[in-house]
Amino acid sequence: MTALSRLTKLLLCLALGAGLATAAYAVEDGNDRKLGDAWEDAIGDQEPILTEKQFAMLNNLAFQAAASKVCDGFALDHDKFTAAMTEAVSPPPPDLSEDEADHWEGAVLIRFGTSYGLLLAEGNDDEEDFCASAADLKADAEMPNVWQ
Amino acid sequence: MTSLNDKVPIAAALAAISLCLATPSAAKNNTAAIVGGIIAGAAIGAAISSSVDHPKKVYVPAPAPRPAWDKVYKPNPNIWCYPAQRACYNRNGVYSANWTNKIYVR
Repeated sequence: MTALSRLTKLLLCLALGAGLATAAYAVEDGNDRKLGDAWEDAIGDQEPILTEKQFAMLNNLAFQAAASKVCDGFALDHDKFTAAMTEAVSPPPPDLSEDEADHWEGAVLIRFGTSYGLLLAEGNDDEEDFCASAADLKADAEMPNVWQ
Repeated sequence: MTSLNDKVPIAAALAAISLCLATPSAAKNNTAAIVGGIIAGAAIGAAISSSVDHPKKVYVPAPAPRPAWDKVYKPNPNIWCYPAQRACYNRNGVYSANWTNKIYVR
């Protein structure tokens, strides 16, 4: 083996090792959530206008609303959706004036719309996986959903 | 894709929701505690700029600490949950409503 071929082999091994190390790091460190940077820009500095549970419920409703647009067979049920949204944002913060309550309501709806838009983008970017995730929710009898 | 006729307009549903939101009866002036950075920021800005008789120190309630954006919690090896977003994702980076519900709603 010439010196040149040994060097080539060494470089190939190093490149392969670096690739494997990068892959292992990526799996260990995170799943590269879709549109993560956009989510951070949109809601990373969101004030705590809702509780943790309420935020999560709103996320799930935005996901289901987006799935109704992106995926076949996931039409929203109007009554279920309305009831779930009302539950997700109740109760409102106590002791707000009428004006403050209006501002709060606006902030909640803006937050919902932002999440809905981001999830629409995610769904249209990877329809197959997004709709498979929606199907997982629909198939789970223990999980509530707002589809027909 | 589903047809438009199969879908409920989101705007209509949200309009219905806004009617369902409770309106507080007590009209207290507690702007500092109100929601939203936009509102709080505007109120504080106006308070600072509009008067020469302000107290020298203005106390604003500190917001609850937020978890770091990239902080991750893994309930199992294939699920990533992000407390700051209150959302969980599958291994392929796709949003998981099931796990979001399990971790943050229940």
